[in-house]
Amino acid sequence: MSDIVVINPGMLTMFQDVGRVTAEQYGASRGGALDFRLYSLALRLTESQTANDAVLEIVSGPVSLVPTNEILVAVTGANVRSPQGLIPDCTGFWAPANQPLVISRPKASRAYFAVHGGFDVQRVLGGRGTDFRNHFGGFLGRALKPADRLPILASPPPKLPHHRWRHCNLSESPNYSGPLRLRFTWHHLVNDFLPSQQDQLIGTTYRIDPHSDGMAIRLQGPPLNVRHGDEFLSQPVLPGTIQVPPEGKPIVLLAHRGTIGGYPPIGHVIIPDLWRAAQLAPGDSVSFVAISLAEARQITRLAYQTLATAITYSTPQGFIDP
Amino acid sequence: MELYSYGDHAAMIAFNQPAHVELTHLLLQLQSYAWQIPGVINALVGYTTILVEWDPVSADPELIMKNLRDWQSDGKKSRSTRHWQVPVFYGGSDGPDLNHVASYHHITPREVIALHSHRPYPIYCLGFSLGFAYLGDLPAVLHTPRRASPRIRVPKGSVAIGGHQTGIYPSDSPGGWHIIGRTPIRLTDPMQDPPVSYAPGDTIEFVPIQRPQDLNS
Repeated sequence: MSDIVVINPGMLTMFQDVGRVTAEQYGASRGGALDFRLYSLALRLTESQTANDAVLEIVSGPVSLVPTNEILVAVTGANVRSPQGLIPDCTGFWAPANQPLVISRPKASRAYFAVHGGFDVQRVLGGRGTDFRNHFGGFLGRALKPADRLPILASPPPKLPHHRWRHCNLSESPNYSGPLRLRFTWHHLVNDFLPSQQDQLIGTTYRIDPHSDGMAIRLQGPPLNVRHGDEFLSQPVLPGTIQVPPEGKPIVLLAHRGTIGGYPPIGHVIIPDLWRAAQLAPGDSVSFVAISLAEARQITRLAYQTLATAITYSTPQGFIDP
Repeated sequence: MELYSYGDHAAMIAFNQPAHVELTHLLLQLQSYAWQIPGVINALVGYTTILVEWDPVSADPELIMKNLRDWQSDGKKSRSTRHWQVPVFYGGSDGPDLNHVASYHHITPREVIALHSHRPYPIYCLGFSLGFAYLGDLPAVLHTPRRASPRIRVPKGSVAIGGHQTGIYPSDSPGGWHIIGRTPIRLTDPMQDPPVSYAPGDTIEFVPIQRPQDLNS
């Protein structure tokens, strides 16, 4: 049996996978890896057979882990320091037994650590991810602690030869300088908002509020003076829904949101831009760009297809100084 | 019934009428119907709306929208509904806001308990957290504005009133409702299928019970 032993879990590290959408009819949220793009790349770099392996989502580094056996691993969204030297972001590599891997602070807000075969954590309500609101899933329903031993599922050996690294043709890090443009479609009741309020949403550069988390991105900026009373009846909401609470500062819901929301929606951010939004940090800036439904569907479909057809290739190991 | 696109991979169906139990049964029929449409991955019921989500890559949105538009109620309930009796310790440390609710309405705590218990509350929908039921038909005399600042931790099992709604917190969570009691029974188990026994369309009745120490006095 092969394990990963946690030496230092950083501020917040937990298991995630693609999420548990079928649990939402019972009131749980889907959860799952917030940056699905980096999650998917981590699976490809570790030759995942399932497209739904549990990985570690790292919100703050450095994180220090020790494999008990030599194993193919990958980190996306951060660099790794091993005893042999520095391993660049988005690399699949053979981690030697009993030697520490130190995953640096994520380059943006979230990094992912995957192992070949996937982690052997129990599937709960159809998912292996951590539901930190309801305290189930992942590793005992909680964030990792020092000395946790994370078991790995047995699987056939990977194809990657020892002493080679695996890369991905999509592995360039996105550029987060300047306001991130979030493309969205208007909500069908957008005319409950005045034209001037609609113009304000798309004409404002917002900043990320420090109270943002996996449930929602809260935005700072001039408030929209909404006229709705307290008559709004709660209704189901999805990740990506942009809600406007009474104080007028928009909220973009993420995968750990409650499934029912009590504030009027104004629009819906497209899925691939939510993956980028999940990498925003407090103080970063965003703006909203309205697009048509046809464009939204096409961009989203293409983004998934691009990930599904990402090509991996291998090179000799290339550590940068020890 | 009105059908709208909702973001890049979903649609919302809205019924322009107040929430009531018959509408909930209609929404549940529509939910079962939606689950059968190829490509649909999720169907969430609200008070008067249903949100249908499909696979953003492989599903055909126009075909799903057409299927939803063509839906006709067959008038049958999608499943039989059940009535649940939930035992509650009212007041004391289990219901720290019982006295506040009573004094807000100028009635006694005993009257709050009598008004709140022994009546069937319909479950309109589940959301917020696993097994949290949005219940309807709280007597108007118990409608109480939410707390000015939410509690960071409402204990699991707490029975509470918020605005015109009442409900039970199935797990420890933050919450802004007034806590008037606590049920000792476990409401959810993520290891079971389904993880929640009750469902929208069912009714919940609160039954006051005595604490063991109170029985001796």
